[in-house]
Amino acid sequence: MGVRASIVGAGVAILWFATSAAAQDAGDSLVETGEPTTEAAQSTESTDAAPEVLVAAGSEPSTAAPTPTNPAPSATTTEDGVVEVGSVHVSLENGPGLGPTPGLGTLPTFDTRGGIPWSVSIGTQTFGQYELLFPSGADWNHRFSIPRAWLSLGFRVENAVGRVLLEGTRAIDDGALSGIADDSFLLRLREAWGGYRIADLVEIRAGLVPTLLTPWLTQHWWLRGVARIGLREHDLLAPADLGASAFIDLPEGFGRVGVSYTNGEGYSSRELNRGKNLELAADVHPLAFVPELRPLAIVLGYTNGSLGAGSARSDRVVGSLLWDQPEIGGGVTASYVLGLADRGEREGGLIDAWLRGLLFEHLILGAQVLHFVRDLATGTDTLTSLTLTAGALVIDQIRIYLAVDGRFADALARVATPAWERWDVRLVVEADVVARFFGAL
Amino acid sequence: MSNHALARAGRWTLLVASSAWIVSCGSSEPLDPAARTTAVVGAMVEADRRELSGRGDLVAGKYARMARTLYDFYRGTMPIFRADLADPRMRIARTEFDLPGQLPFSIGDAHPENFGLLLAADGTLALEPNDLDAADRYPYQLDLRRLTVGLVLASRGARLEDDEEDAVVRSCVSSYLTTLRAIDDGTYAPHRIDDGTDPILADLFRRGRRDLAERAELAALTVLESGARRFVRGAPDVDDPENVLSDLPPWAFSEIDSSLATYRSSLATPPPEGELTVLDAVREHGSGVASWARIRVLVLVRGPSDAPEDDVVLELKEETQSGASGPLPPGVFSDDEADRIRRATRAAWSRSDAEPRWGASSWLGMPVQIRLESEAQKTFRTDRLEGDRASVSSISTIAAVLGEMLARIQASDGLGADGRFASRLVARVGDRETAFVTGEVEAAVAHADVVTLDWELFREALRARGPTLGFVGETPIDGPDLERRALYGTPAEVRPWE
Repeated sequence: MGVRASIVGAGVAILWFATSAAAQDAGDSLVETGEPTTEAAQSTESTDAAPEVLVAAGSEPSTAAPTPTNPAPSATTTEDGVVEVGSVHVSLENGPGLGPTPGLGTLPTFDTRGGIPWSVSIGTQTFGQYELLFPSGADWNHRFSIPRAWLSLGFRVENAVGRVLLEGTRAIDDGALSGIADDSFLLRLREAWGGYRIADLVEIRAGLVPTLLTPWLTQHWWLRGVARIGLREHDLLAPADLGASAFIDLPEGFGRVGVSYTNGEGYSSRELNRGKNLELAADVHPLAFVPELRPLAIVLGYTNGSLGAGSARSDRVVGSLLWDQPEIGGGVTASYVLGLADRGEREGGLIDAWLRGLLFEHLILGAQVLHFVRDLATGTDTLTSLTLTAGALVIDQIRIYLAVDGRFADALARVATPAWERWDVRLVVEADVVARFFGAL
Repeated sequence: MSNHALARAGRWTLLVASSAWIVSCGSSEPLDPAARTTAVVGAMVEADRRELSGRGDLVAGKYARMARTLYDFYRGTMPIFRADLADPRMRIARTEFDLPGQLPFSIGDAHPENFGLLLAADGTLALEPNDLDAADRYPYQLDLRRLTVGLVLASRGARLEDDEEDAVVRSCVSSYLTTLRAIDDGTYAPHRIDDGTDPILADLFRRGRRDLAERAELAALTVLESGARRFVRGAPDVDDPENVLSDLPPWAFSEIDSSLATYRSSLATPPPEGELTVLDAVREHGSGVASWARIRVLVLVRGPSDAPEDDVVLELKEETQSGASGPLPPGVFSDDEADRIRRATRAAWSRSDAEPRWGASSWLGMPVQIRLESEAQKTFRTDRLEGDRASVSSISTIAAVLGEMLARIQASDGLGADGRFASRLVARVGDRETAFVTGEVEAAVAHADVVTLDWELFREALRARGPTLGFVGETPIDGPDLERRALYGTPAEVRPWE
């Protein structure tokens, strides 16, 4: 835990300058109540339960050095890994807390002495990747890439919540040559929303909001650093969009249900038609009252939507049966697709099956199979992909994966999607960290 | 019910009936008019979204131009064509002779009107591809079918019978395959295409040579005032009022010099600097079809001497990305747009100096292509297929010529292709030449029917949705700034298309 302690120490050092005045009055320091204090620790009640269970809470005391002219306030560390610096508390969480969208709704519990509780989280998630590519019928190639580079800032003040999430992306699509500043990496908004929590059960968001289904399924899959879920891989649902959403955290860990109403063009396009997307989603643990069976989850989703200036139908019906616990997880997701890109009448079907395990606390194994029938009427035009991975959880914030992918197409799809078939070997380094600062005003 | 409503109902009845006709040819399933309209509108707006956001009036001009004639529509529909090629339900997307993983160099939009005369360094004219906006690396069937579908539409415009349009396509594809076989076995002798006895080629070269001798572009586009030449302003041709020349903003004019300096360095044989001294420059609106909304500037430069008789007109045109989707790593095959254009010319032409003034540069931060603007460089026009130029033998001859040229281009090593395409396709076809040719004929004829339906649906969509197909354009907040607005300019009023 030395690395964790160092990072927390650095955060403490920053806070020390920012809050030194407040820190002078040690008498105002908030008192731990002994309740779980990190979002990770509360994850059994939060919406991001499964990944966060993997996060071992706890760190060692800070070693930030004081100076003679500005003596540091005393920093103490609780059993839950929360560092107290004056009136501000700091906790460090790993990536799944940032995840597709962290549950900002849950505030650490502590004695506010009547003040207004607040929390600010700053996080980053980055996938660095080296790919060795063997396209069918063409020469091999290799390259470095960063499939994901995220920077997030979230807050909660009493019941008001919000988040801004920046992501790095290329200025232009594959195949293009010139964009902004040649083909630079750019930062763009992935999320920018404000919201309100009601009774710590219902959260309402508006702005550039994460959609519901794809982030929830991704959280169950957990190995986003290795591969996207099928609905995202084939660009069938957007992960964020302009609009509003609301969800309910069901009590007793039974899961969540939600609804979103959005433009339908995703977060990288303005609205192009009058239609809006209505998404209904449920992610429930039906047997949560039996602790041993709580990992059993059912995810259901329905999207009624339109895409593009032609208002092509973009409806999705998704059903998923999952087992989700840190040591082992697996699931099968079946999706019915009405509308593929601008072919609104086209019906397709997607099967996404996956399995993952965490052995000996550090060894990660995973497999994913996607089978996409792009034309259900004929049962042809199919794309199939397979991903196998073995990785290591080096520390809570760093994971390394070796992955092998195979992509196959039937005869019709091979002509229509030239050069899609290939084998890849990838080395992925995933770095996740969220620092959460909280206190009371 | 009003007359207008009756007319609309009649049109839709016609559309439904024509869609039924499509059933057995264009796709394996009936093309539902409403669904097809969605696909047509969606593909066009998606492709034009960037331009629609900032210069919707220019895109409206392009759409009006596309609505006017079936062939003009076809020229502007590369986005739909690409989407159809990715949809196995469409006949155009199916072939027994695919080459997985192979992306030969090609010009990216090889319809017949993208070929024409170019004026070579030795002052002679030859038939070459003359539009390299989309040149890149593609599956071979994209350009082969873009060409053959265009030939079917041209044949229909010339009122050929069904079996005759089949013969035209057969001539093209046979020539294409024969050329690839010759390249593969080393017996192909690259040669320039010049005029022969074919009426179409003879007409093209006759008009080209006439205008070359007369320097017709100077007479058409410029005036002499006090011994100095400058462009006319307004419409140079009263019969084409949409094509207008207007003043450039001074700040944009002042940047042309530096753009030409870069352009000069892109040429294989750069002219003396003095030849590129800028005498005048104007914004041109109303040219082209697919690129109607792009920025075009005509630049009058000094030429070899101070005499106004040898002044030279150059066309500077905004370039955008090719649209190739980069399925093969690394996904791009040139450093930038200028590099792509420059290397494409070397690979696409029968000789490297087929048009020695064709180069690339950047201007005001955007990639541009700069080439000679000459009335001598006649483009092959399908609307000139009349009289003896409209016979099946004449059109078959030009079809064979274009098939040969496309084979030569795709067999080249342009943009890093390995140059082994000819041997690969020849091996893939083997002794099944008849099946290959027949398959291409079927695909081309079927898709020409689809394009015909699409044209009607597109026109109906314009009527129903408005001149930009319903796309909500710029707002004061996110619209172009005043400088860009001035550069885009205001096009002439677009003539009604019906």
